[in-house]
Amino acid sequence: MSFIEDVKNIFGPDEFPASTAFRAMLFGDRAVYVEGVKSLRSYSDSKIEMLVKNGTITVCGEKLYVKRYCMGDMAVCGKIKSLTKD
Amino acid sequence: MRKDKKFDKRLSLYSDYIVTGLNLNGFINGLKSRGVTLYEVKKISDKKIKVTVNYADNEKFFAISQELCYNIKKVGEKGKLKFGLFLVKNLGILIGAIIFWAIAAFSGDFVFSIEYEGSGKVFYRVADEYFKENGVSVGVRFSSLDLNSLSDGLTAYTDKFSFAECVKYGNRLKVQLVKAKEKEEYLNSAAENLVSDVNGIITSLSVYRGTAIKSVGDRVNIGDIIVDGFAVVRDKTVKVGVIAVATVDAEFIYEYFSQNEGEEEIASILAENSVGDGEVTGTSVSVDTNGEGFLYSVKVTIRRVLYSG
Repeated sequence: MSFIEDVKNIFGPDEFPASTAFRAMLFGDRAVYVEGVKSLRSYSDSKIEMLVKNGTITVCGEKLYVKRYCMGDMAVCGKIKSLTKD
Repeated sequence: MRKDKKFDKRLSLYSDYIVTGLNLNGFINGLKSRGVTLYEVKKISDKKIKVTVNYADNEKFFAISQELCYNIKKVGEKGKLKFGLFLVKNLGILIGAIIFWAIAAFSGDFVFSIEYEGSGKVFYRVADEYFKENGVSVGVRFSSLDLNSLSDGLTAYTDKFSFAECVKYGNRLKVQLVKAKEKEEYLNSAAENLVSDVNGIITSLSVYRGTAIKSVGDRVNIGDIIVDGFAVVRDKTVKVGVIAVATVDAEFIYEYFSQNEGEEEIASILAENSVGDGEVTGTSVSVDTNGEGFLYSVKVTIRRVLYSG
């Protein structure tokens, strides 16, 4: 069973609806993968802001860079200090 | 995780660019909205970022960059197929490498020359005849020759060589020849006289039976009796069989004419080959020209052992 399926089973349909506006997965403090990115708002090596439906996701840290960005999916690498949703 | 359908990761070929301009966020969003996947987006300075895109998206990337008025500079390619791309762009190098490989692989297989070495080299013409009869010549391929059989065959072909060996040395066929020793013969007590068959000077003389007519230092000509078959026993002359050995140093003059200059060695070899039995003790060559060609005069000194009995 995939990781996402396991998570769905844990949270249940109420907390984990079939369709979500965005998803963000943090891998330790080295990488974060975000689905549902509409556009890049600001970009620097200490802060990356991306617009998602109903808000902004901000990744703060050091030596940040976009590993991959296509079709609404963004992978950010570097030393991640915080991941916030506004 | 959504996959970029256009891009097959197995192809693994990317292009790196440095993009300069203002509002780089807008540039990144513009690329993304036009379906260009970005990899390794790194900020170099406020107005400069480094971007990696799929090699297949190069044209689109250029077009969008020009359209959005950004300066782009290609840094290079990377990925598993980078070397393949280099070959495609430099087809001449690839073709040249293939031709070089073919020449190196196949040219070493051809005989460019045949060289003779050793004491039997003086009889190289005999070896030449053998090679011609067996289809060995310049231009033949080494892979079609059995050098061991060739060596054995050459030794058996003539009694002039006691040993012959054919070896591949680069593109040369080197033939090592060892001249056969003269056969030993037993003494024959019924022999009559010891007669010279060359013109020369006697350098040694051993008489076991018979009477010496000539002595060491004497000049003899062809047909001269050196040791006669008689002996004086108690004032009586009796006929005896001659048992004697004499060594005569003889000289031969051999002349060779050619249109070409510098053929002293060829003239020497031909001269040595023509004098027959005897140990060659010296060779000297003088060249004369009369405008039409070159006359090589070869003086060959041989040591001829004469024996009777």
